[in-house]
Amino acid sequence: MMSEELHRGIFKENPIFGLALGLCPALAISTSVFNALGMGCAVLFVLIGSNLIISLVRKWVPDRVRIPCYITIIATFVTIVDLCIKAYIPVLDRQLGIFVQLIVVNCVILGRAESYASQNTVRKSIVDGVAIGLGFTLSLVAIAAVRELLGSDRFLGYTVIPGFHPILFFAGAPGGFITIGALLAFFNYRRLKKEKSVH
Amino acid sequence: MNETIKLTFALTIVCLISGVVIAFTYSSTIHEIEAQRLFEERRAVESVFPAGAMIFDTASQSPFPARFWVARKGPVTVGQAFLLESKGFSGAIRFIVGIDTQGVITGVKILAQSETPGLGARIEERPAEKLLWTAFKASAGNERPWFTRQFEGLSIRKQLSISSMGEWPGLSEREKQSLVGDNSVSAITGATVSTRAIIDGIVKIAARGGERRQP
Repeated sequence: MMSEELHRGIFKENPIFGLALGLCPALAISTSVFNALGMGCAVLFVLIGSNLIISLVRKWVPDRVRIPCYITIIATFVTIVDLCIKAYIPVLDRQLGIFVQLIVVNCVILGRAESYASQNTVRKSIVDGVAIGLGFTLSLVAIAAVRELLGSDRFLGYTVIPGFHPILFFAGAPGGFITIGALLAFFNYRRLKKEKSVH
Repeated sequence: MNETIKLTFALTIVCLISGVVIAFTYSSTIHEIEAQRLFEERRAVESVFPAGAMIFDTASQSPFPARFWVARKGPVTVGQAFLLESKGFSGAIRFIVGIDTQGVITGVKILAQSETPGLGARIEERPAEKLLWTAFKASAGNERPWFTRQFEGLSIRKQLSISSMGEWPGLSEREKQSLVGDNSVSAITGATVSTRAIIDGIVKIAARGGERRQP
């Protein structure tokens, strides 16, 4: 079940390339692989936590106030992550800045709460959090790897090809859009082709 | 009515638990966060002064600069450092600048900034001279950020300017020399506002007389 779920989270329902959710942080912090990994891990933690708690209280929270309840739960986890990063990984805090707090409004997390955790058991919701969180992290790293390599000729901060003149365009937002677009196209082209061959 | 009470009750409980959890996390991390801040500040001040100087923390009387430090070697004052805050592209950039008694900048160190990652945030970027594969063998280099390093040796008594020569790590030794000669720094591509912010902060302290008298 686990590997099936992981496949679903990373490929079929990949938050960025499959569902096109959470594009704002994907664009903003994907300039370096280190930032992408940090952001991915923060989202992974928040997603697992919020999925766990929301699936626990899903029968108890009245339908009409469920969204404010979910947002409060998500914001609690985000605040915990934010404080912990500030206290224990100050380097990452300086790089990500405001984007950690903005995880609260990341639609991947509220999306999973509303469409999955509020309707499934605790165990399934945790697995879903891990799968979708990993899908998000891997997508961010993929975008960041392309942008860091082309935009500043680096990988995790280390020069890859000495003497190569980086294409600065990729470090900026337009380069980010094009990278995300190209990867989206590639990802979905493969998926559509596979689906066609099945039918 | 019954429904209203139920909804209110549910939300109250959720918020209450959330509040307790956050309060607990806050109280158990705040000492660490504060310690990190002080440690960074101390290290920043040390890094802008010549090695071996005694540093005295001085509370400023005027609101600007908020704080400054005096470095002495024996009885002689060798320099001062100022905590400056300058408006960047997104929010304030807090940094420390060290100036010797001749008005020459001995170091600039960024304390806090919220500039755009990949653009303005590169004011803190370290030069990556090591190749990827060497990373597995040796520990990461302790290079200082290249952007702030350019300020060392420039004078606050002359006009500070921005050169469009290209980014510092890509320049030859001769071009770097000519930058120092012109009392100018190279800008970060795509982040002129962040570059300007640091310069403006230094110009502001220069206008206030730069080297203040000892209190």
